[in-house]
Amino acid sequence: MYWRLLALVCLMFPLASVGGCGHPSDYADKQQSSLPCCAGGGLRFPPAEQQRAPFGPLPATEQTASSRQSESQGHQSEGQQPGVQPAENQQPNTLKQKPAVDIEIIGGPAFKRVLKKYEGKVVLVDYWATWCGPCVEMFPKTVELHRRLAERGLVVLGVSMDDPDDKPQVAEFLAQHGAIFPNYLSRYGVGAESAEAFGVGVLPTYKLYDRAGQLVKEYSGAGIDTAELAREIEKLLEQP
Amino acid sequence: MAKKLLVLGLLAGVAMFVACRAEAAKLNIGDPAPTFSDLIGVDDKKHSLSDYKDAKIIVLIFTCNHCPVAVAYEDRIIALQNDYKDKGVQVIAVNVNNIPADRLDKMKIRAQEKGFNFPYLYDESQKIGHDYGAEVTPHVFVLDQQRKIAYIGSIDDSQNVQKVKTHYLRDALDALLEGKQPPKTVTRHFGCSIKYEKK
Repeated sequence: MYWRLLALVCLMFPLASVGGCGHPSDYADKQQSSLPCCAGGGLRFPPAEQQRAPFGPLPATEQTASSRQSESQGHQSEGQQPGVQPAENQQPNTLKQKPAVDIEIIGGPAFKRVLKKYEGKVVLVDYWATWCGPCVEMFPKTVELHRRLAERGLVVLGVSMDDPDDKPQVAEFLAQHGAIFPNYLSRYGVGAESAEAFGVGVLPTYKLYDRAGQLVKEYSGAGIDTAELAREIEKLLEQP
Repeated sequence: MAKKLLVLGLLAGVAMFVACRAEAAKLNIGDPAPTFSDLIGVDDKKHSLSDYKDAKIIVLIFTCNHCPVAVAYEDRIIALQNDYKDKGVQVIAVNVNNIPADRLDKMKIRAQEKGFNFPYLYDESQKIGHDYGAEVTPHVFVLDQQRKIAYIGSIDDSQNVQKVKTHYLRDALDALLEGKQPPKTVTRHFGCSIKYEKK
């Protein structure tokens, strides 16, 4: 019920702001100023424990460190475990706070390297956008799949095809949905360049990779059969 | 027994062929453009592809009202029609979504608000969408003078006007008008998925 309302609000916002004037740039400008605080910059790969935790009592990690906007920066430290680092910034969670989410702005080649990194795991990538009604509707399912199956070795990655300028809004949406898996935002923004770079035409698109890193299934458009998606994931998880 | 197997095998073959054909409903460059007729427009008139036989090139754009991406491209489509009108290019916009926000009454309002300078048609049956394999709004199909498919894909590479680097559609039109092959005949389509009804 709650998420439906959210979905509606999230959907209405871009509609309302683009609708009247027809200058999409206005949309970005307006949004930029509205929520400047929620972007968590650095946490690229949350440590496994954090990834598995249910999303209720997670500490908020307001990142003060400079956000990793550039692709190259984000991939310098292959050897280290970047996810451990934000632990230093953890604050006691006294208030009822949303779970910490992280978004990295990323390009096509860098995302390929991310996928490579997860070889050996079953990986589900959800390509979505806040302006995409069916995506917003499906998103809770993605979160649920992660919550239910992460422990069994499922890696869930979110790739938003919103404008990079709208990162705060995307972060807000992700936090509200408890999307504590690694999240990315296409550096190319909304448009065919993103579609080209990530090999995605229709949103939402789910891409499912087996442990060998092979793309085994792709689901896209409104009306994806999530029960079938779940079955496919479970099937892959059962394979060694 | 052997005969039965043969028949079964043949049947399976036919079934597979049919299945493959059904899968490959997508158009390719050079394919004859699927025709359409008697689609109602926001002007309450019926429109057929044959009505536009004088146009050198037809730009068929699947679009709709509710989709932010489609909305973001409205001004660009209007400008395109303005810029290419005298060159014999005719834009035809089609909506096949049946959700309330996209139905004909809403289309009329939108067309008037924006001052669409091209026909905006509605296909409740969604047939034209299936025929072209349109998946998103906006999704562009350019029909050359022989009414063959000459370009499929996006209008340009970014929804954000300021971030556009390549104007795929304009580049394709410029090339076609000079009798050349578009630099890119197929680009990734991107937008809101068209809401096809399950049959």
